[in-house]
Amino acid sequence: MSVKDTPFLEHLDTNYAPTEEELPVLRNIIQENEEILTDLDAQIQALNDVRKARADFIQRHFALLSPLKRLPDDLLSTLFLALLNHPDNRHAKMSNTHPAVVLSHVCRRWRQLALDTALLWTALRIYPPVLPQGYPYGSYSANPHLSSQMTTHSPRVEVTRRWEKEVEKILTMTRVWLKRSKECTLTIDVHAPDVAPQIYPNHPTAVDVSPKAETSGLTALIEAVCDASRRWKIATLRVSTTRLTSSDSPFRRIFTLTEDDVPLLQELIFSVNASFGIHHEEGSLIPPHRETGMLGGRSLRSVTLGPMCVDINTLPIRWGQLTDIQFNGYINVYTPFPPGDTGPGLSFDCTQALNLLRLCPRLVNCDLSLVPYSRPLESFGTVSLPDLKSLTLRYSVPDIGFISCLQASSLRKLVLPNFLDMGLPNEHAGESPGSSLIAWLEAYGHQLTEIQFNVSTLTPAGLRTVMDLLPNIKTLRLDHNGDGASLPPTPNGDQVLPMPAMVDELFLGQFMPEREDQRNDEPRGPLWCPNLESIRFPRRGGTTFTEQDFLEFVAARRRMHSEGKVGQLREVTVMFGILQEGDLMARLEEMGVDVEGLTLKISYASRIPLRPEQVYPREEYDF
Amino acid sequence: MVLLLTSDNEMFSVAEDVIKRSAYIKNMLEDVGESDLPIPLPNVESNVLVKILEYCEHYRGEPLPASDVDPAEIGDRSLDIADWDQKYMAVDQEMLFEIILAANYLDIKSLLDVGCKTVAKMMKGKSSEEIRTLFNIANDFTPEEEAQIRKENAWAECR
Repeated sequence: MSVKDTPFLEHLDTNYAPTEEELPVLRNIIQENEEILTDLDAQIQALNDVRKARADFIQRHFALLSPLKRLPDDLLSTLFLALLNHPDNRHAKMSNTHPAVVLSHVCRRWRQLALDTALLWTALRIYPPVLPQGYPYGSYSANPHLSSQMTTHSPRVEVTRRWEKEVEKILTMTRVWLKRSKECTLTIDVHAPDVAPQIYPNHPTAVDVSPKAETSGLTALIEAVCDASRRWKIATLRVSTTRLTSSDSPFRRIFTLTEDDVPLLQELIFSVNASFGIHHEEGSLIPPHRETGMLGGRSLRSVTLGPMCVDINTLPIRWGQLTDIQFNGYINVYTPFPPGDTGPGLSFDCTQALNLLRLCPRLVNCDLSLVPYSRPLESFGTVSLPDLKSLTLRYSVPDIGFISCLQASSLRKLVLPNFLDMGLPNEHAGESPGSSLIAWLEAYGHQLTEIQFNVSTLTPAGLRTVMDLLPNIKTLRLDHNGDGASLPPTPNGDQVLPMPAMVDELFLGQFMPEREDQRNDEPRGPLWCPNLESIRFPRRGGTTFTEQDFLEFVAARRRMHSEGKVGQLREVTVMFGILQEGDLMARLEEMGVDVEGLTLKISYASRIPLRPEQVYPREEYDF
Repeated sequence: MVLLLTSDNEMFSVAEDVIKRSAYIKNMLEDVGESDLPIPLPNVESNVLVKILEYCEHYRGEPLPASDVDPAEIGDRSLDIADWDQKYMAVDQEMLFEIILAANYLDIKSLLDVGCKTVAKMMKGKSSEEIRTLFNIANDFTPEEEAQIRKENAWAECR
């Protein structure tokens, strides 16, 4: 039909009012066409059903073509492992979103394969929730009956019960993971807080929730993990204890593992945080100590130890086989004390550090936290570490005495964060060969490819000297104590201390060829760091260059690389102390710089606008 | 030059240092020595071999990776997929899996690694249902298995 067939053609889309005679005709036309429309709808529906069935038919046949289905099991299993090893999944918790669980829920074949691929289940990340501390069993009341009621129904008890259920769930998952991992070696990551039920052991309200019931799940969880200790390859054990002794701790089983219990353990991170504090007389009760048997593991190559309270040399570690060590020093020793004073308890100073290094001739990576003030080093023989590649010394930069004892011909990475130096440029720091940092670089600067140091401990001249000593650096990380770092009182009354070095446009200029418009009255040194690939500028202040200076620096290095003059700058991390003015990557592209493979990690000190935005538009409310 | 014969009977003449990225071909050349006979590749079609050769050509002259790679380390050797590799792998699913199959057959570990990483990236963060949709996989669990999965989901419920 066509609209031309209607007798009302001339009135359509107008405001014409039909006559009494025309009304039934109109109604008739509408009814007739509504019936046709209904019929058409039914036909469309039928066709849609046919179409849907056909599409479904095609889809189901197309699905058979899915190339993934043609992958053999070994290749599919490899894909599963690639998913597990994706950076985003490295620290996946045991849960229904864990990649192994997700894969096992896709289809029957995948499930079977996932359950058969033991390597998917070998990483156990066990993070029991923290049971909120505080008053453990509800409000105190002298009335035992009332106390009992309050205990049963208090929010605290509810929280405790929920916590127990969560621990129970983790225990179930742990058992599943352990079973599915079959006989494979394991990566264990336990990060567990203790609970403190016996802080008020004689409290009248403690009757309903016995300490044993509250921690039994946690104890069972630790038991399950330790039952598999013979399969541990990598273990991270960070636990907190609120007990006065380790003997009644839920983690007791960890503390009593012997070297025979961990025959395959290669890497261990072990840290016990005793939140109640350490008494020197009782300190030895808190692990690690000489009775911590797993430290003597035959395969142990890498050890990281949190702060502890016994002499590190007394630990049963097979030092001679270690390739990696990280030691965070002794408890309660980071309160600076004057040179000459031995301070409270043990202190891990340069002498102790050299003693330790002498025990570990195979070290490759070493990270030690030193006390800020070391006793003068007494005569000490040579410590040879021929394989040492990376050395990190925190809180203090050992001086020439230490350096002259050390032989590290393979050293490539030196990290000296030194944040406890309070940002004070020593009167002669950076200018005399006696400066510790310069002494390090005179000994090792030419062989280093990576370095991190604190700029604020140097004078401007010292910083230039340091940079001149780093010809082969590929990765440069600069620290600063912050622009607001307080300076100490001057040692000799009115003597003025030199200003600390800043990372400014002149500093950046040394990484670039000389510009034509530059003044030539100051001699320029050699081009800094021709092999530079990655640089991180100080994050806490100390930089005064502008976005434009920064752009010129990046552009110059990228262009110099394209001309074959320097290495390719790939990564730059900077934090500006100003508000953002533009998209720097876009501006580099506008400047014609090839930015492929370049990563800029840029942040700004504050995004808060200096002036608050007006609530009302000025034009409308400016009376 | 080395002659390669694909499953659809196309002949390719390839420089030896290019195709030696394939441990399979490299070993065959070492075992057989120089020969005018083509090496048959019954599991590789010509369009896939073209793609494989593009990869080998790009990495021509670069050192070959170690041959004894643990499967558990696939996807673990570097965090990112190189820019060029990402562009190279920007193909449809069918070709992507064909490349993985061919890399596996020809024993080109670095290419297999990139292929696996690419698929891992596609699957990352997806639920089992989303993975089914992504790869056209049917949910063929029996009611008993579904019940077991529901049970697993209960105790493994994300906190």
